[in-house]
Amino acid sequence: MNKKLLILALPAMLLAACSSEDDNRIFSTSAAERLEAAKTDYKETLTANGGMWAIEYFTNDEEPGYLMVMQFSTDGAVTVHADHRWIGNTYKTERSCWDVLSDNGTVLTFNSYNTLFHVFSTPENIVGEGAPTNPNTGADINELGYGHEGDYEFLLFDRSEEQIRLVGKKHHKEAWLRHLDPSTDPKEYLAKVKSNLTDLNNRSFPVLTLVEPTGETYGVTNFASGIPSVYPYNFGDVEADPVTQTVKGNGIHTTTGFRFRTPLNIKRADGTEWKLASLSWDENGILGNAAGVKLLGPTPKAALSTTTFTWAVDTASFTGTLRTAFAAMKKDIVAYSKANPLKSIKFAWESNPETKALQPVLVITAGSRVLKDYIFVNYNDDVTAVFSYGSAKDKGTLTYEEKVEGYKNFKAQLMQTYALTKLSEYNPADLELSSTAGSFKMSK
Amino acid sequence: MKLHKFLLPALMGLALTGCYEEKLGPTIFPDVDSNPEAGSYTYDFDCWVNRTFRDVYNLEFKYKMEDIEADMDYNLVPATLDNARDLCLLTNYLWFETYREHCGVNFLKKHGPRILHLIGSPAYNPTTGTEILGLAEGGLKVTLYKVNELDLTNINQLNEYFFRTMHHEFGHILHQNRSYPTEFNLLSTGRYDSGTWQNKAIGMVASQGFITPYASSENREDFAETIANFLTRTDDQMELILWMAAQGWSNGKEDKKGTGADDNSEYYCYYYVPNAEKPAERRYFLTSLEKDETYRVTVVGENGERLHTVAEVEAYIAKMNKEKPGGVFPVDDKDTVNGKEMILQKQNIARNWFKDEWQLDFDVLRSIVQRRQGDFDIEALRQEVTSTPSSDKSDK
Repeated sequence: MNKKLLILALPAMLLAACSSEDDNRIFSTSAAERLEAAKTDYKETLTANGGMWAIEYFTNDEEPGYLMVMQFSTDGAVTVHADHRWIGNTYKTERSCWDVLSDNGTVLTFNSYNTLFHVFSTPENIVGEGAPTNPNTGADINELGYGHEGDYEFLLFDRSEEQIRLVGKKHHKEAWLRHLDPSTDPKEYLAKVKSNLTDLNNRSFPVLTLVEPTGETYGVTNFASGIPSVYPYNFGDVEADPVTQTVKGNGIHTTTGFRFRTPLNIKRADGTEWKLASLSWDENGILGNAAGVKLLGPTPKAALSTTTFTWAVDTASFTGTLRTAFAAMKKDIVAYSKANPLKSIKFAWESNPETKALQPVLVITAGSRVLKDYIFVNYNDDVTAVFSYGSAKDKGTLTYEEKVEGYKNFKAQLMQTYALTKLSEYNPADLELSSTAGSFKMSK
Repeated sequence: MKLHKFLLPALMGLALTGCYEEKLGPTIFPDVDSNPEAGSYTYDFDCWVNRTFRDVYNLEFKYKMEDIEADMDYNLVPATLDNARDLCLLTNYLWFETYREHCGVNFLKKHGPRILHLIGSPAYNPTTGTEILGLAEGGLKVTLYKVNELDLTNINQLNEYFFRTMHHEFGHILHQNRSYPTEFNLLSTGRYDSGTWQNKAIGMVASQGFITPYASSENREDFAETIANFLTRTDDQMELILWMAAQGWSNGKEDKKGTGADDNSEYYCYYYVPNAEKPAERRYFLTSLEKDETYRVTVVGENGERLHTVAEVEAYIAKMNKEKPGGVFPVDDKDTVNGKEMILQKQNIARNWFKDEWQLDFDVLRSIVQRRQGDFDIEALRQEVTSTPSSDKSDK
């Protein structure tokens, strides 16, 4: 019975097998044709609307990402614009070839040598400023055969008119192409990133502070280098351990902010972890993200409390009664000694000759005479400082206090409670001090 | 039952027959024009490459690098356009035109490679400290490396990195198609060293019958090196290598006493002055053959004078003979190999193989290579690319 059914069914199966039309095909064209079409599509996308793209490019894990600008032309040429450190930190452009191939997928290739771009792929030993060295000996690490391990052939993914995700064929590092407006000036575009980093790249203030919305804080070093290290500070009663809880990751600085190559797993003081992917500039010049995380620079208090700094007062910046008192002091100093006019006003740190303790000192220089007052600076909070007289004064100071009225009055006016304002979030080398008696600026 | 037994196979047969009725559909591959696109960045040069190599030899000259054509284990970079262009021109002039001049266009049409691939960097092997200058694969493809180091003003470097490499790799292509005599493999049996050849100086390997240190790595490289060095080395260079091959040598590491040289250096000494008071001590004065871009004999001592020809070497020995009261003496040849005879024997096998297998005259070929190496004019060659109107260069 079963065989009879089979015999009856067979002709139908045969007819189906012999059907020349395959109605179940998923694609209407062959794989080869689709690849060819994808090549054409990618070429059109890359060259559309001016063909200018910023590439966010990564090499090995020990180096930051590099931002370059690429202009793709329909004639098969690409102009690379770069100003990275491996070409001397100066802006350069160079033309070479590009193409879209189909080998194992749709592949964007930069197939003739471009000094600005292929320096990351060459197998030569890395030398020069910033080259990796043995941390114990400081000697050159010979990477002959390896170089930076950057790619110049990329599989193309996730295409839109605005951005394309690339994955290196050999080293598998992800890169992004972000489309730029045709009117973009590549030199200015790259310079803007460096300009953003100017205040962040400051050896005087090497530690920044990352703040979570919960209030937990972290020290951040080497941020401007593109390979920041992050370690937690104590939080409440929980003690952090910077030795075991420091994490490091490479990322890239762009015009909009900073992005880690892969989100960084940051350790809290209690050992739990959270991920930080990127930080963007806000309208106030502060880096943060939508989750409320912020990267902050040193507080004015921290800057003013740094005992190695000397602050020069901008004497033209005095306002209010401070300005009046300053003018009177200047006049009285000349009246007392024409040969020794007022030269400068500075705040510094010195050892108090009486107590031998390190203490803030107000230094007013009149000609060859250096007049010192060892003062006290107390803080109500991170942005409020209270200046008051200390006990010690040198002999010259006592003489001037006795004989130069304006000098004594000015110093008395200066001893105020000040609101401290940073002129740059990440580089508090310029401070403005405001009080009821007026304000003034000073620079480190 | 019987009906079922017959009906089932019959239906299956019908089914198969029915499927034969199906006609082949159109090709699944798109019809892509492989000719250069007018107005493209490299249009003129692409036209020249197609006209010179593809149309004549059915050869694809990949001067724009494709990773997939290279060994993915190495970190490599493309060649610069300028250097790739110059090397394409030189490849044609010094290799393809050489054979064309000797035996017509058909030889390379039939036996030449089908793909030439240029790579800007060397292929470093960090483990051994070696680098690959060229590769020949499957009798079909030749890869030339270090194109970004092309220096047209340095003839020694051009010879070492490119011209000799071209002929070396073509030697491989030829013997991959028609084997060379097994007799060749027997000449240096037991003396090949694929692991440490790179640490050996020419002085030692020449004395053992190898034309270069790389030749001492394995027999097929020995054969390719024999061909490439015979074709590309000048008479003076070849004579000097044969002179070295004929000498005895002493390992400087073992007999360094009295040489005044760095204790860590390894070199090979050919002549010495005996110490009259201590006969066991010798002062070597004619020593190591440096491998820079070419080989030289070097004088031990303060300024390390370099001698480039046999005439210079012999004049120096004669001078020393006059200056030294007791005379100077050659180091005994203890390696039991007559290096000079061995090298000449290998050249002769290559000569006969060219004649018997390929109907080519090895010596005539050499004379053409030598002439072309000495007279190429890169500016004139570049004119070939730029002087012909693009419209005349379109695909034929």
